[in-house]
Amino acid sequence: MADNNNILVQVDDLKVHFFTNEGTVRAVDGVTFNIHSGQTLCMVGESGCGKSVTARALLQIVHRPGKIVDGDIILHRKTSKDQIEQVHISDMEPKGRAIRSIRGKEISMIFQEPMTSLSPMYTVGNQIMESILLHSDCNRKQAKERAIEMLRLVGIPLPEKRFGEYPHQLSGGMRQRVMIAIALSCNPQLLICDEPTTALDVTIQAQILELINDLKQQTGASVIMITHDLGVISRVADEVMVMYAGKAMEYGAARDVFTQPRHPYTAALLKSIPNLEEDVERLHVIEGMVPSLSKRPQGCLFHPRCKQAMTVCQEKRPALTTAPDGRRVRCFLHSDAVEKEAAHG
Amino acid sequence: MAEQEVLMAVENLNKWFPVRKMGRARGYVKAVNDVSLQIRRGETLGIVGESGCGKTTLGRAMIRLTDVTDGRVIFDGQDISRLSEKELRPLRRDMQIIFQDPYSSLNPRMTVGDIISEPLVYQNMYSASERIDRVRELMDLCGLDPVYIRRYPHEFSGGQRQRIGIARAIAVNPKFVLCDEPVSALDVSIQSQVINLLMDLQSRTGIAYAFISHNLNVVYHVSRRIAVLYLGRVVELAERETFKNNRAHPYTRALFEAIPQVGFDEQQKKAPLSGDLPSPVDLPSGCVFHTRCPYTQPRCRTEVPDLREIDPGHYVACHLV
Repeated sequence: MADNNNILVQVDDLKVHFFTNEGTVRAVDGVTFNIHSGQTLCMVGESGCGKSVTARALLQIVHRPGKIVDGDIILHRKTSKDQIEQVHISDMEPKGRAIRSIRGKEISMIFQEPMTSLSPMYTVGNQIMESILLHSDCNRKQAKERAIEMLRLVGIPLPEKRFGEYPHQLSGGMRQRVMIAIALSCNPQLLICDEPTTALDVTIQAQILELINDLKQQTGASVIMITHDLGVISRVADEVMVMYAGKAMEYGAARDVFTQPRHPYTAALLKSIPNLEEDVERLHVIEGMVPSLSKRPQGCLFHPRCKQAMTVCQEKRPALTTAPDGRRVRCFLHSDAVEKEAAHG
Repeated sequence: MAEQEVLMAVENLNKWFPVRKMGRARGYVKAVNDVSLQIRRGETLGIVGESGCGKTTLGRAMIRLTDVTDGRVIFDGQDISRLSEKELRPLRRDMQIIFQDPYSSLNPRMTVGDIISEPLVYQNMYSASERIDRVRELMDLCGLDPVYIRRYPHEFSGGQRQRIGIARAIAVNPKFVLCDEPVSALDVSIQSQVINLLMDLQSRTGIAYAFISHNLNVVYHVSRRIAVLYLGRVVELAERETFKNNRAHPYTRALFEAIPQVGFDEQQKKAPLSGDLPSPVDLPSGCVFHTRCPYTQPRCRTEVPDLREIDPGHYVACHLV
């Protein structure tokens, strides 16, 4: 892992809970990670594991009745003369001026559905100009030039013509390119991609992933990529965090985690997807289902589905511990550390 | 291929949808164009392609959930392409479908028992009391606890609902089941459970599947043969092993290279295909793939390539192969 000077965003023990009529849902329950400059962190997990909520918390756009109940999100903002100012995003008002000046400027986000995240009422050019005009002091003419330049950068043919078109006139891949153009228009330091290619075909997916990688190289931005496709991760990730039921199960350099998974969940997940390279008669199966977040099992959250579960796993909850090589794993097979759970809600 | 081995034969099938403006047909969405293929008893034919390539329309035409514009569908020795609903009814016992979305394909106001026994009632199979036993047997077969027979779909998870859909499809002992993206709405760990269930059922009962999916890894795992569709045409059709090392059509190669594989051994590949799928209303002249193909020759723009057999059982539609 890179040294600490390089940290762009630091997330400490983040907890996001949803207060529903059926009880408290601990969607994100104590997640800690760092994003280093110019690196790509992938969050992977099955639906409901809290990966999207974690990303949304970084921009303070968690839906009601969700709330950040604990933890710190710190943006390390570079000021002049190599000074670093620590900005506490987790303390900001979700509708306040401070966070709004960060959204779309320092941290921006690409959503899964390119159709529903663009407004059908405005031209794509207009929507790109909107964030440029908001965050910089250029006039409309300059903003338009910048918008056309962005469209060209993301590989849209005839950008001058496309500038005046509406989202329904573009294909899914083109719409996702427009989303990327909007997200990158103010040179953000961190780009959050929430399943950017799930709604796209494989050939278009390959184009978009290549585009995100290229733009990352050019602008030096960091990327958080949320996905459930393990193949996508091996194409783009530097680091990977495997999440399960609101907690990080394993966290480390992507290559190491995938070639030598330590947590039984990571290993089972990797084995359960069919692969062109290896022929198997039957797919490996993780028995059972993802636990409901409001009725979580005692002890280790994964133990009811774990083939290597021991007695201790049923009683105590393992802590995320760091091995000497920097890999973090939450499992009693690797460490005896028990998580201390503070009482909440 | 011996005649009696073939269960489903599609011959020169076309399915066009009219695009209406001011009430008159102003053009056609050419969803399926001149497709011919065969499915043998007890085998799985995988059908892959990008969205909008006509996979689902082809599947639905096979089991006559939609009318056929032109061409023939021969099921179990009988031409079903022109049959009326009434004439099709007894044949429905032999051909069933599993849908993609396990949420919208189950009636929320019916219990699981009612859902699974509905095809039995419709086909007039078994007496009322035998039906309940049959439903319990089916639930057990599909990995659902029969005590849940009176529950409603909303009480189940996505994977369990897909099991209900599978139990409903196999209730009448069909010879052929169309699986239309049966696992794409499910999580990775649930996906493998459902795929294993489908394969177990096949080895037990000898059902033939047409397995439609855009997920090439999944199709490769379940199929014996695979057909690759592009803009409503079959561009390559072969045994599954062929697709591992011997992909012939430029589109097939690009498609398979575009799948991100888990593993860091190989160099990261560049995106092999540029551009988008052309509109199925104005199909490109000649080879439909020539607008995106890296090896386009002048004759590709004018001549439509035929689906030719280049090796035994390996069919490709490309001038350059």
